[in-house]
Amino acid sequence: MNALARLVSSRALIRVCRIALGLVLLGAALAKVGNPAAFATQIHHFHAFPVAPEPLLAVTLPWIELLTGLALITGLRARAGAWLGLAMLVVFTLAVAQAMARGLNFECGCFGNSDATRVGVKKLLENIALLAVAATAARRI
Amino acid sequence: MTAELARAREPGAGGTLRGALLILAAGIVLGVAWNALGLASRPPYGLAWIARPPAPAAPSVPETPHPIELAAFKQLYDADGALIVDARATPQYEDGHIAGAISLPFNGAPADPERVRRLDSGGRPIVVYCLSPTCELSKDLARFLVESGRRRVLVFEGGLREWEAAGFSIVRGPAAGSRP
Repeated sequence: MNALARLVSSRALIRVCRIALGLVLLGAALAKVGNPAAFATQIHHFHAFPVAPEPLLAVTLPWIELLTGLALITGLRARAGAWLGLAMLVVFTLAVAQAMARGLNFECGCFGNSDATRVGVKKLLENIALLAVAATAARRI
Repeated sequence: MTAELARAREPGAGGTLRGALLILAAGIVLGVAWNALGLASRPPYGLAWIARPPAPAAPSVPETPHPIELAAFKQLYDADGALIVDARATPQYEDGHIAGAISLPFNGAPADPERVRRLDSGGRPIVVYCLSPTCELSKDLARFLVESGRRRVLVFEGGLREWEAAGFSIVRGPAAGSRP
């Protein structure tokens, strides 16, 4: 247990997790920034938010992801970026889980238009793995 | 000592919260500014700020897609009386689709209006399907086709699952395949 605690607290692991999370968020953001209309449709498929503000979410979320990714990769406000990334992943995971629970069947679009991964167990497990990375990245070096 | 010095450089909870709020605020400002520029450009590439509410029924509103049940769909299919369109992504289409159906993934359709314009139903209705009743792609694509000016667009909500369960013909691969 001590060895595990030491590993999770190691600066090298935290830095690796920050960069990995940053790259994932950056990739997701760049795939969505140029096509807010398609992203708004994807958000609508989750049926998790009121309809009227969906365009605002579609327009701002990719930019928040982009800046968070840059913060993590450059190390500038990296811990803040890690906590923001963790919060976003919690929301995304809950959105996927509630869509699954309601039996909704659609393509996630989490990484833009070309992302054909369907909302399901695989997507949920991917998100949980990313949550673990984000939780490590959020630790204080 | 080195770890303590490193720890001293990283901000505490207050500094981390301020940093997170700063990133959040900057993201919102950039997103709003980018979209405002998009709305002002010609042609506009921005997104309308508020989602349009469902249009009330009125003579000037274009027709909405209608659902079609399996039996009626099969009659149309046997008579070659409709253009069948699969709304799923290409890999799912190639894994198995209704024989004779063409692929028009919904996720690519809005970005490729030319492909939608070239869709030739030969005057027949268009029947759109995806995997199952809980799949939204067929309804989204059907709505998009109607908004693009297509008439007589039907949605086979049972999808490929219901078609296959009834024992009807499925083909695999990129080609549409021919109806039996």
